[in-house]
Amino acid sequence: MTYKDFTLKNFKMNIRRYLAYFLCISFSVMAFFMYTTIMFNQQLMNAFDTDAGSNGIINVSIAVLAVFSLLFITYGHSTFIKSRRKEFGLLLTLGMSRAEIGKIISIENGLVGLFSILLGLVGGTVFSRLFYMAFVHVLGLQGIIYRLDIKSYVLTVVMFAAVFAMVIAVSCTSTGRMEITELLKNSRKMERNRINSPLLGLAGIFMIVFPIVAILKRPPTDGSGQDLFYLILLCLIGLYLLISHFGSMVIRLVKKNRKIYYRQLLLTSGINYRFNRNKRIIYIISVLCIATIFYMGIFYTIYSGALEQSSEQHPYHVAYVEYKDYNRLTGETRKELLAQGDNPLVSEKQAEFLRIRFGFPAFTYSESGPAVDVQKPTNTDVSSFHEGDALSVSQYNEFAESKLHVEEGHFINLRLTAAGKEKSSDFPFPLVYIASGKGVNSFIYDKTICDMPFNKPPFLCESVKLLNDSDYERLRTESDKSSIGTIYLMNFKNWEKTGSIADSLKQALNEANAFLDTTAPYNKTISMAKALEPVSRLEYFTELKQGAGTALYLFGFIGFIFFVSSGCVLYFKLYTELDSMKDRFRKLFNVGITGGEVKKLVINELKLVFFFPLILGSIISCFLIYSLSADDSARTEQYLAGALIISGVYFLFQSLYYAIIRQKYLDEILK
Amino acid sequence: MMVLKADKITKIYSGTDDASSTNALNGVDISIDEGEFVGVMGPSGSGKTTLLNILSGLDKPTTGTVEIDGRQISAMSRDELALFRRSKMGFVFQEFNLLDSLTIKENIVLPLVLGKSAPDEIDRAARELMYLLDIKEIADKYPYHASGGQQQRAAVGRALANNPAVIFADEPTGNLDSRSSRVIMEYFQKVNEKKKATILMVTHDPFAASFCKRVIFIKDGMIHMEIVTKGTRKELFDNILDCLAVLGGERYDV
Repeated sequence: MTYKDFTLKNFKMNIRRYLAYFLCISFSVMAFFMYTTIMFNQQLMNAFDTDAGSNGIINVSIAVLAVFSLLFITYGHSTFIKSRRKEFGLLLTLGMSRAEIGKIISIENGLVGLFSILLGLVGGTVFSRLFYMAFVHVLGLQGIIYRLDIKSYVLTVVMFAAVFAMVIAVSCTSTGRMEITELLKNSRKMERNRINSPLLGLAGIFMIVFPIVAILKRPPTDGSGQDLFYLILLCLIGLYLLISHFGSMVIRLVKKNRKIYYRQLLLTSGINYRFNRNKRIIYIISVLCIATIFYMGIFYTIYSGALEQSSEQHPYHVAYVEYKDYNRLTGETRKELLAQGDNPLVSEKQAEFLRIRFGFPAFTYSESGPAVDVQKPTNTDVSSFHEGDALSVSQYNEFAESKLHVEEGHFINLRLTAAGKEKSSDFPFPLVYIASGKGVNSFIYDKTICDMPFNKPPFLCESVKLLNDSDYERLRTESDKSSIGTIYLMNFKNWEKTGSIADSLKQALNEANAFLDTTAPYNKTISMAKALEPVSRLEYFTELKQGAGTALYLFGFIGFIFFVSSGCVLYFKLYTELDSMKDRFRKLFNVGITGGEVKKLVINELKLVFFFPLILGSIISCFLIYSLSADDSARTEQYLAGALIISGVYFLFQSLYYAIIRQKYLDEILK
Repeated sequence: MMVLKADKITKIYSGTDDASSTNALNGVDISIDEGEFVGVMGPSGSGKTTLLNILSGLDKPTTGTVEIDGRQISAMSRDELALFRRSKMGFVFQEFNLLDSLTIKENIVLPLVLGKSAPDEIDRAARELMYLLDIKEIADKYPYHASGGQQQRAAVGRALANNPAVIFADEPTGNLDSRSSRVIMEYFQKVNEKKKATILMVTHDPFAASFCKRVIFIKDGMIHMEIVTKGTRKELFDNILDCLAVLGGERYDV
């Protein structure tokens, strides 16, 4: 037998182990490759760029995926090598040199690496195409073309070749350094925590619950995100503690009842054993699961709620603002414009608002908050005042169909956002000063409400002051006539066909403003021209749906990759542990355990390993979504429902995978 | 009362190719009474372990019948056998075969746990057995924290837990040093005398066999001879050496 024969024979003998290892690496190559096809799809990335900050998410997830692949391959490799240590030890005692062992390791793993990269690339090419077609079809995305970039191939090959070279080098040196006795020693010791205490598990639960509650109770103004990062980090650390001490928690709990303890002895000890040995795996899978459900839940909710949100944000189909000489259309042009074709104007309303200048009182901070002497107006320097809008309360009531009342000399702060939780802390001043042609009047702050009685064209300020009718009337007469503006609100027969109307309206308004200067900046972010543009529900809806659809596609992709990856990890782990499991059941068989009992035990343990991370992950991500969406949206329940739906889909996929693996695994065990 | 009765057991391992098949056992008859401590000896490849596996139902004979406690085990299904093993038999193996995921105490009571005994009964049995075998202090340790001798004592405890009709021991001292071997054999003797346990032990160690009351020698799949103790253990030991010399294959003189 030559040396080559020996290596080949070795390979044949270890084919099952190699196969699991090989398939898993192929999958992670495939996953990575599929992801790079997104990354190098310029069109998709451009479509995504409009959504500020989401590019960051992409970069983060590619980093996550790269780190994951690295961890996974090193982990898989070390498990694989560990399972063969004994063999190497034996070969060393028989007089094989360490260099030759290193050669075996390099040749075997080099081959595995080469073929798994090849298979991964082929699989990735096929699957990314399929995945792309399926998603584009389901989401109805338009204008995004699938293409493969040579850069994807290069990046994948380079990255995995590097990882492999590193891993092989590390395992060669580590095996080379080991003593023969160490290599020969059977590694049957249970991987145990250094400190094994159910209390740490409880601490873990606390560390998961605390951030969720903290986010929920967080003051809404604190939106820096820094605290959020630490809270989520805390949550993830807590998760690790919980998982690594879950086994001892279960045992402690079960031991309280001796009957259950003895009845479930094999199951609980099996759980403890598995959770101690597999805590890293279970943790990785849980985190992947949280990430997938979290992102997909959010974008799914936006996507599926686009219609509702559009009608919330745009109660009227088309709206624009007329102010001073801006956007002033002649009656004929308007008539001509709005009576177009098969989508006639159904109703039209006008709302009047007053452009005002207002200022805040000078105040001093004390321990109880900003202190202002209400009796003594200060800081009435009009030049430092801000521009704002005012509405009469009766005008508001007409649109909002409400019966709000504002006393004379008071005002209500109306925020033009979708109705959400009303927060008294939104407005830090007890009063404001509003300038009119005849001087400065102070108005006492009552409360803040959030509502959208009509669309908010960009020209309108987000916070509007609601005044008593007589106050409003007085300001109106005292002010310059030109500070009165009108919002035109129009409903058509079919809002979904208002695209051309909005376009021609926009054009007509542009023409009407032709002799006015609209290039000046209106505020910090937009120009005057932009502020005067009409808004339509259709435009908003289309943008929302496209944006969320693209994001959903992307995260569906990532979620799928995460799912496949976690499936691989599970598969690999189960099969590397197969021998020790078989051994365990052989011993039990001698004591006298029936096939049915073995089956039940295996199934229960398997269920736990498959579904525990999923259940834990979905609970955590649902709570995270719930508490994160609680402060700025009335759609918390919808977000929660979205997360639950995504969890359900994930669950379904996992169940399918479980059903397949279960049968195979049982067959192997019972063989 | 007869506990175990085997009738004309044969076992043929058929070769995979047209190569010859092996006759591991060629018609073995054995009967064991309650409270007996029987040793089975023979050179390597004589069929000792095959015999034990067949008698204990871990393997099926090619022909012949095995009866334990009045029931034909050769006719039982896999699951029936498992249940029967659980309630009527105890096992001690060379490799101890303790579960790594269970503590020593949990390993000992495993047959009772599988048989769904009442918790009080389980605890009582655990206490009693650990006292008998002097392993109380390692009750909550895991097998890999215990020495070989301790592990084997735990295995003996497990074999005794369900008050079996018969205990099968396959080279129980094979993995132990001579001191631990003596200790474990003394426990076997104690168990046999105090608990009236019936034991069938396969061994190639004459010293271990000298603790038995009866020793059966097999060679080439057949019972070759049988000796019964009459005097001291030393006399039996010498007797065994003589028999082995007659059987050939192993020599114990220096």
